[in-house]
This record gives sequence, structure tokens and C-alpha cells, in this order.
Amino acid sequence: MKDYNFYIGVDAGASFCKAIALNSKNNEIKANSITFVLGNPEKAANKCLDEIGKKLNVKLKILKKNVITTGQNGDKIRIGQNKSEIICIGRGAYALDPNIRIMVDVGSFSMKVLKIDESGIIKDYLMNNKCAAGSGVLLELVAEGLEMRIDELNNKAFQAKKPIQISSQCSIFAESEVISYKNEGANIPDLVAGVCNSVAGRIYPLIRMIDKETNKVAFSGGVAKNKYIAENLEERLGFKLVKLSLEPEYIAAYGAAIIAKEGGGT
Amino acid sequence: MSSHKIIPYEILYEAICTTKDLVEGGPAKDELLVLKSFLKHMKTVIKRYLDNADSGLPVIGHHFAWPTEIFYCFDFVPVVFEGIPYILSALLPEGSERFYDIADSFGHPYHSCTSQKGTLGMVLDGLFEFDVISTPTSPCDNTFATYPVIKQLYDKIKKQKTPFIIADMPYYRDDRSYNYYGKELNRVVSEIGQIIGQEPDYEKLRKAIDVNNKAIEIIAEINEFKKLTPCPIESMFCPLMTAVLAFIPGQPERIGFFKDVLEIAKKRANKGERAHEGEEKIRTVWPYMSIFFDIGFCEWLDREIGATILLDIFNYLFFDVIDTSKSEEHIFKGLAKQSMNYPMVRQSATFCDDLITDFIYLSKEYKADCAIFTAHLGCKQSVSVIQLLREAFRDEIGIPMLSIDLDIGDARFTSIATVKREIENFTKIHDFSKK
Repeated sequence: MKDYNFYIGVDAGASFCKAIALNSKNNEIKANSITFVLGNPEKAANKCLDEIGKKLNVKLKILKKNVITTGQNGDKIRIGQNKSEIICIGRGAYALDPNIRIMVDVGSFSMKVLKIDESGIIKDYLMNNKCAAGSGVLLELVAEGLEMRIDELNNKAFQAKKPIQISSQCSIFAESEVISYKNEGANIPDLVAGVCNSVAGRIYPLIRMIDKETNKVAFSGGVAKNKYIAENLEERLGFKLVKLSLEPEYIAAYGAAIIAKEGGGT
Repeated sequence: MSSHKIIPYEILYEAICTTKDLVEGGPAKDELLVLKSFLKHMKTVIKRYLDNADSGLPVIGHHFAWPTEIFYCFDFVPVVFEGIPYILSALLPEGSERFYDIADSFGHPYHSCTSQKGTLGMVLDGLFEFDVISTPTSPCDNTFATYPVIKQLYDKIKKQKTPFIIADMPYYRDDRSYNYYGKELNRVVSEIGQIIGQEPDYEKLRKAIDVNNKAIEIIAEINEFKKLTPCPIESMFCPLMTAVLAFIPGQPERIGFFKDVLEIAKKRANKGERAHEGEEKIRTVWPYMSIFFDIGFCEWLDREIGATILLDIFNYLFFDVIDTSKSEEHIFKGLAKQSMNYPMVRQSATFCDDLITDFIYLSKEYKADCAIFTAHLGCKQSVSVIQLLREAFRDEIGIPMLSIDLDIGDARFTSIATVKREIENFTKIHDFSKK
């Protein structure tokens, strides 16, 4: 008999809305979806659910029964219950690998570092609240300034021979600094690598502020897709990041779906 | 009211009267009892200041970190620079933002402390007439930098040279320092006496200290009640106590307010009640100050979150009473000791260890579940300690600390909605119900 019970996690971030559907038996992901928020999180969430519904051949009404929303715009979606992003990231990461002790999540405007204990409880967290320096918006602004797509930054950075030091911590000033370097004829890969290094340089102290010893650190959020930043972070930490078996931008949605399955969404 | 020498106090008086009418006319009889007592006593005191200013008594503009009782050797009108912008930010619907903007427009750094920037704005707006301006050199860099600016601009506006009296507060907290600072306080009294043409009356000083001695004892009793679970005193007491310490030194209303609070605490404690219906879910300590710009914030915290502010930096006095039967030298040394261990002065004017050890001690003593740190934009000294504090709370007593970037007196820097959201998130993430 076909199982129509699905548990949905929707992570409506500042730029992207991500959704994941779990089946009722285990934590197996049956479908996922991602779309731009474009100033309307509710519409974006519905679009994701719609796509998941089509993939699973299930009506939207059934999907909406067990939904947990999260993310910066999660509370603006009138479906299911809303949970803190910190809780969802922690839950998702712990479900994927219970050995993780620190979870770093960098999205479009936010940067969060969570400390998770052996039983999956979040013991401490840090997040930026007044400044978007070091978050994805810097990469977006720089990509725009250099007239390239954001996903091109990664490959460009790996071509660098001598990364340029980007001094500005503020995203807006960093963008202006990058454009000045570009106008002075700086080597573009060196420039991009400098920007990526500065992002990793913002993340690193947050990790050490929350835990000085652990080497069980994983990286999520859209910025974690940039391998150059991840490698630079590994260099600073002096060890390899734990690889999770899920695309980094889906971790919060996955955690939300697990919470929905555990009864948080009914 | 016609005291044009201290116009912001006129504004304050009107704000107190309006708030008092609203509070007494609105909620049930047994609600907001601490606020009602505060408004009653503040109304009397501010009226007295206005009357005294009208009668021509000299106006002394001063820092909150003085032992203000020293001025009670004289007949005078106190204007506490750091108090007035913040109490107006709480009581006026539009807050003190107008005064901050005046100072900003003049070119004063936007990131300086609003407690003094607000007063600077009032001075630039011509709202004060001072006979003397005075400050110790502590507790913070803002003080050391902003007071000379206020004095110079005031002189420029008034086309005069206003006496500016400074006392040199030593860095170390030891007997040698207390002796030295006691002599400094004595010198300040002597110089102010010469400026305003009054002989210091040390009997009046002794009486003012006796009042404060009594208040210190009552505060200690109140703080004992705060150790109870649930805490029988509303969170709003914390910022109100700060205001009473700043605005009502050495006067009977100081005792009156704290006595009222003690009685309220006793009654509730006997019944095992807190100030509000519902369970006390979270006991918090605030190693910096609570928020002034939204008078309803503490009520929200108590009622909606079930969280109690047990203590902020201004609510625990780390000093003893002064024996007023002894010599003047002993009294001034006692005042020096009190002043150097006064809330915020004790924790800001020397090594940061005091702030950390004080709050670790208080958190244990008062069974706090977490700490909430208001990272005030203007207070570079306190925000520099955030990480050390966080680690100390986490590693020594296993409680989390939330830090929120804001300006405690300016609603625009971080909105109250954002502050509430951060606190709500923090309480959900840590789930204190499982404690």
C-alpha cells in the first residue's frame, strides 16, 4: 500500500527557500526542492511544496499536514509550525552525523555557529545580528561587481596564484574595495581568492569562540558550497571538516522535517 | 512649573505625572505596584528639584558615579547627566532620540554612549543652566571624553566659563587608593563650596549618608527575597532601582521606595507568589544594564516569557554602610570606597575580572538559568568582555549567555521587536523548561 504520510521541512532563508520531504518510516529523503524567495516567502514555500507534490504524486493538502518551517523568513509562512533555525540546523546535522560537535551555517545574510553535545542538545550558539560581513551577500555583491555568476567564484578562486588581502570587514566596503582592485587591473582569480579567504577568516574565530578544542566541525548553508572557502577554513582550523551526506543548503530543512516527524509539526 | 534652569527635569516631571495617571487609572489595583511606588516618590523628588531651582539654588551637573551625598553638604539642585536621557527614553513616547540627534548633528560620534550624548544634546539645545559641572575620571572612556566636550560647548553657548570639577579616581581598589580618593572627594567639596559661596555642612552630609545607609540595608533584604523561587519581585524593579540610585540620593524618598518594594516582596513571598500569574520559567541575570527605551519590555519578559531579571549590574551593592559617628576623614574614605565599588564603576573602572567574578558569584547565589548581555553600542569597555563572560558562564557554571547588540537608550539602533525575537529564540533553543 502506498505511504501518503510525509514530513516536510521548509527553510525559507533570505534568498532561497528549500524544502525536504521525509517518509514516515525512517529519515529517508523522498523529495526536495529549492527556489528563490524573491520577497515572498509564502509563495516560495508553496512553490517548493508544489514541486515536491508533483515529484511524489501527492496532493498539496496532504503534504501540508506535517510541516515545520524555519529560516529567516520561516515565520512569515502560514503553514505548519515555525521553529528556530538554530534548532533545525542542529537537529539535521545530528541526525546525519551524531559525532558532530560544531555546526557552522553561513547563508545569504546570516552566520551561525552551534555547539552540539553528545545527545544532540544545542549547548551554545553564536550568530551575527547587526552585520552581514562574511556572509553570502558579500559573495553575491562581489560576483556582481566582477560580472560573473556566484557559482563561478569557486573555480576562479582555485586559479589564484597570490590571493589579495581584502581588508574590509563590511560587505559593502569589501565590494567597493574589490571594484577598486579590479579597476587597478588586479588579477581576478587572486581577487576572488582574497574575498573567499576573508569569508573564511570571519567564520574561523566564531568557531573558536564557541569551542576551542573539537575537530568535529561541519559546514552548511549556501556558502558551504564554495569549496575554496571550505578548504581555507580547514587550513585555519588545521583539520578536515566533517562531510555530511546531504547538500549543505538543505541541512536546516532536513532538521525541520525530522522535527515534523517527531511530532513537532502536528 | 517654571524652572527654566533645568528644563529636561520639567519634561521629566510632566512625563512622570502622565505615566502615574495612566498607571493608576489603568490596570487592576494590585498590578504594577513597584512602578506605582517609583512614580510616587520620583514625582515628589523631581518637584522638589524644580522648586529648589526656581528658588535660585545652584545647579550641579554631575556624573552618576559620584557619591552624590557629598553635594548634600550644600543646598543645591542635582542634575545627573547619565540619568536624564534614559529615564526620558523610558517615559516619553518619542524617547530621547531628539536629543541624540542634536548631538549627532553637531558632529558628536554616533557610537558614543547615549547616556551622555543625550545630555549633550540637551545642553546644545539650551535646556540647562549649570553653576558647576563635575565628574570623577571614571568609570569609562566616554566619561573622560564627553564631559570636557559638554563643558566646553556649554561655555560656548552661554559665553561663560563654568567651573568644572574633576576628581581623580585611582585604578586599583586598595586601602591606599581609598585614602587617596577620599582626599579627592574632600577637595571637591571644598572647591564647590568656594564656587557656590556656601560653607560645607558636614551634619547635613552625615544625615544624607544615614539615609543611604538605611537604603543599603533594605536593598540587601530585597536581594535576599530575590533568591526565592519564584522571585517575588517583578523584573521592572531592576531598571527602576537604577533610576532611584541615580535620582534620589540621600533623601527620604529613597528609603520610601525600597521599603515599599520590601513590603511587596514580603507579602508575595509569604504566599509563594511571583509578581505575575503563571510560572517563573527562566531566571536571568543581566551583567550589563536592562533596557530603558521600552518601559513595557520588563512586563513582556515577566508575562509572556515567564523570565525574571534577578539582577543587572546596578542591582547588587558590593559595599557596606558608613559609620557616620566617626571623623570626617573616615566618612570621606567610606564614600570613596562606596564610589569606587559603586555599580558599574566597580566593574568598569578597573580590570575586567570584577565583572566576571561578580556575575559568576551572583548567578550561583541567585540560581540563574542564563545570562543576557545587552551589548550597548556606546560601552566599549563592557562589550570587550563579552567573550570572556560567555566562556566563564559556560565553563564555570554551565549556563548560556545571550548577547544582543543594541543601544539601551535608543529604540532605533535595535528595535524592541528584534530584541524580543532574539530572546524568544534563545529561550526556545535552550529550552529551560527541561532544567
